[in-house]
Amino acid sequence: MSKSEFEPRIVALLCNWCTYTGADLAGTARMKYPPNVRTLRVMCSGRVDPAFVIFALQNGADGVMIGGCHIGDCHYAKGNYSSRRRAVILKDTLESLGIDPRRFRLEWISASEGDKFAEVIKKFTKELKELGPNPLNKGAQDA
Amino acid sequence: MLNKIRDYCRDLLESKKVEGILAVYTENGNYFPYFFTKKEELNNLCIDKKYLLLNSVKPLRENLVFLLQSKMPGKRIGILARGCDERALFELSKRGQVNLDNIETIGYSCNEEQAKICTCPTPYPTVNLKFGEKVEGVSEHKRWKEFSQLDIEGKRKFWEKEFSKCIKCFGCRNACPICFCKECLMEDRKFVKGGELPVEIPSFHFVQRYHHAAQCISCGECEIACPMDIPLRLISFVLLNRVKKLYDYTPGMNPKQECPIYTIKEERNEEALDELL
Repeated sequence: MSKSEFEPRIVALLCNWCTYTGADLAGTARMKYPPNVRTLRVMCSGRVDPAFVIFALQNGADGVMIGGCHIGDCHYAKGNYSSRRRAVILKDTLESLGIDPRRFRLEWISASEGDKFAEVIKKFTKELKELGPNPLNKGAQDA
Repeated sequence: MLNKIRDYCRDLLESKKVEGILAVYTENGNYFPYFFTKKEELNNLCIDKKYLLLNSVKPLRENLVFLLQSKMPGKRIGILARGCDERALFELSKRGQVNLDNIETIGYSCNEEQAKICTCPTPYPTVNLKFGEKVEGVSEHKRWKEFSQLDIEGKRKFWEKEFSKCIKCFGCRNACPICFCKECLMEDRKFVKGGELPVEIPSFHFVQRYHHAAQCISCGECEIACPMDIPLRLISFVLLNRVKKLYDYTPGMNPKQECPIYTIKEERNEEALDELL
């Protein structure tokens, strides 16, 4: 598969209160963004265990994104604070395991920022296309 | 040092300050953890063999101190602790596994040779050091030089080679004093196939390494237990340095300081972290 044909798969774990609604807004407002993203709704970005990110990367994802509310806006007061602290450490873990840390992203997107969601997905897809297929993913077919 | 420790323990037992002392018992070249309650038994006390007293007991997944405390609630228990034992005590008490108020810690330091075997950065108890002197620890993993020169692709290949040696014996988890979860993600059948090899690379090892990013007490038990010599602690060293730099936290140094990854108590300004994402 040459790089020009490569379509990355992104798993997006989105917070119910902000980013998922933001993605919904991007859809209802008919904004254009690449169809490479598969969204999963979680109740809070703080609920995402870093193990989920590794399991996704191992089972066919080329990139993983966690979307949460802006700092200070968390529905559960402090969920995104812990999410941020973990994400920083997770990046280091990925790097020391030999996975490019650019394959993981943490983004703050609020419910009204549909355009930001589209923008982030566009940027992430472009970056992953440059990075190429995930080496952990052995021959999984696009589905 | 051994005689001084025996005398001290004898005094403690005689004065009834403690109900008993948890330490290592030796007989005919065998050694095992033992709860000393009679002073005659102290002749069999041993300090030169390493046996992590806070190891969780299989298959209960509870440590000896926890079991003793639940058997005799309110009673004071002594523990003859090395640096790693003390750090494990502190970390477990933060997670409600042991009650530090009823524990009398008698700390003694290891020598440089012992520190080298365990690759221990702090081979002495930091708070309760009573016997011995603080000696310099080992701050670098023995394979760090080889590992640090690799680029990202090289690291991936390195781990692919190392992890594929794994036989899923769960030794690293069972030997770990901090691993006390009854439901272990390493056994979750959604993520890990039971009884199948090769192992899931890298999630099987990642789960434990990551969850201990700010808990690992650097006792070295996981690597000692590993029959395939997988250099698991290479990742732990990277993560511990990172946690120290970012949050100024080293596990097991201070029983009052909360773990920065699981407890967010103060909403201090952490905007600087955003730049690292």
